Amino acid sequence: MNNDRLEALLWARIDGTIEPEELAELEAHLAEHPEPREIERQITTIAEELDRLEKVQPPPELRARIDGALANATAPTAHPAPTPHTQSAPAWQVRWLPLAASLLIGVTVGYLMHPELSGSIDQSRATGPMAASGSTPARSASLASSSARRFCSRLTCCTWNAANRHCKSLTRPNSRCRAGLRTL
Amino acid sequence: MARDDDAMLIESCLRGDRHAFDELVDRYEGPLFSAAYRITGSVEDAMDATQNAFVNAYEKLHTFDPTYRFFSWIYRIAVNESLSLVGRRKEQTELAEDTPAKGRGPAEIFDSTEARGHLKRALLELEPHYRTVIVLKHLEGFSYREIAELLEIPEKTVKSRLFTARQRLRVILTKRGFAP
Repeated sequence: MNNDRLEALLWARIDGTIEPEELAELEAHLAEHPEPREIERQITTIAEELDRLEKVQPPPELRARIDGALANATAPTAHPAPTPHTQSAPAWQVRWLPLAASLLIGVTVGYLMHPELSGSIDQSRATGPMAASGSTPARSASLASSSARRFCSRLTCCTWNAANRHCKSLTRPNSRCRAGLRTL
Repeated sequence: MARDDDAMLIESCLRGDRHAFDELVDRYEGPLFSAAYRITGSVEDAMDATQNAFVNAYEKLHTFDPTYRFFSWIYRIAVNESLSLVGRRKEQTELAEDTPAKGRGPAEIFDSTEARGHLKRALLELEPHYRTVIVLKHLEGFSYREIAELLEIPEKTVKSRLFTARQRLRVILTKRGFAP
């Protein structure tokens, strides 16, 4: 065993990365050859001394220097961080998703545009935004659900609060719904 | 836990809360300075490297990828700053000469044993990239993989570099008449 190999195995043993067969090889070599014991002792001592080196505490004035430098630094902008691990959608999704989305929208709009399909509206109970705005059933495409206080447009669905004239969106925020009870 | 906390602080900082970054400085000022000091061998350079690391990290915080540890990111910046400072410095300052006055920072913890003094001087004789892997391995206790990530070099290179660094360290100590 040459010295490079010996040193490599000695350090691997110290690091805990030595393989069992390498350890057996090293121990057999050290048992047969007493001379490398000196190298073993040196390496062990160096490793111990290196591990004993203390972490150095920063001088107290460093913090003030960092604070001063940060005060003059350019503030970071809130751009979204890069996401290198994201995977692109499979090809079939790219090809069929737009078509599927178009079909879904078409069917939904068609359904909402025909009261005979979407069901009648109980106008006597519709005291909310649609009633206030005088919207036609077709325009508002209201699908009064089981509760008369729930109204749906083609794009969103909200619950009307008569006390504060606020329409709380149930599906997704809709500024038209909140601000413009007139537009529903 | 610290990682989640870091993520929250970074988010706050990106929303405009500058003081959230102060918390990150509190957390990592010590480890960054310690590594920078061991790499540069100079208190003044280590302070510069640490300060630059925080300023660079702050200004580029929006480029930080939260899938990684913030500590690894800023630590890499500090190591690069330290190596850059060492490269710029023409003459390496002897550790003993740069020791601050008693009672100030590192002076208090400089060891007294002769062996450790020899070892520190021998460390400063190593080329910076060899010294850096020794610091990361022995002072910080990083694994080969972590060192590879920090220095952006292959793990195999870390192993060979560390082997050479340790070998040279032993040679320097033997030449100096200090056979441990």
